[in-house]
Amino acid sequence: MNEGLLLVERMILESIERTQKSIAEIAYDTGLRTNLVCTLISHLVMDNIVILRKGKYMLNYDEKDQWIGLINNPVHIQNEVKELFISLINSHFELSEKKQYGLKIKKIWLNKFDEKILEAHFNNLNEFIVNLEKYPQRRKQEKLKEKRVVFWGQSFYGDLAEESLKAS
Amino acid sequence: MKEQKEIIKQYMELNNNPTMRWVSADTGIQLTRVLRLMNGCLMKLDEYFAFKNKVIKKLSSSYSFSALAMQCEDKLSQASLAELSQYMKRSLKQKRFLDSNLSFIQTAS
Repeated sequence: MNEGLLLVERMILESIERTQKSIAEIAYDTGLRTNLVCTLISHLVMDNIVILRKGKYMLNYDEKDQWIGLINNPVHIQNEVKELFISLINSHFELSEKKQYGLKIKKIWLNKFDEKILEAHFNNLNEFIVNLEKYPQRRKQEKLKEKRVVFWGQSFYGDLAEESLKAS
Repeated sequence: MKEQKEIIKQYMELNNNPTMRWVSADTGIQLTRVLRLMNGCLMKLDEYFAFKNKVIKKLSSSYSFSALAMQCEDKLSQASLAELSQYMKRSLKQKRFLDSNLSFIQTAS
């Protein structure tokens, strides 16, 4: 647990957070191979984050105080987000045919007016996403693996360059 | 003394633990002197740089991961090393899961 959760481990926790599930059900929900789910979940059980009750796995809410801080540690979250970005970038470059959900990164100059328009677009997107999150029960029947990972945001080019220099 | 031991260790590892005669020919340091240095005798500055320059040359020409890791350890900041370490630890963790998953499949079949 010192390295935090892997992307696939968090996916399993998110799956059983919605409802208790068997191995087969987790595999169906996440799209992960059954054997891999077995391996991952056994480690989560050993870490006391997950328990088995009547053949179904669930989050160990009785011991939540012991693990919640660890899995939501900002440094670990940062590593998971980096893992997501790496996966997104690799997928984008590997997809040779239809890039329906490809990655778009643009470097652009914005005047004050453009900035306001961009901000308005971001606010609209934010509101749209927040509204979707408000009604999770509508989507309870859908598989976790079909959830979309949406990125948005912007930064000054110079700030990013500055940050990249800190890497050395 | 610590730096002396470090540089000798690096040099020996990068050159696959060569013979003393090889070290003498490579560094230009007399054989008897090489033997004494390997036994802990205090290094002169020019001897230190002879070893150091060979290590730097080896590292810059080598594409091996361990050589690269040594260069990183030598050159990068603690913060950068911590970030690289995190990435490596997570990759190892994932590999362990995949490997134990694979042995599960092999056992089952």
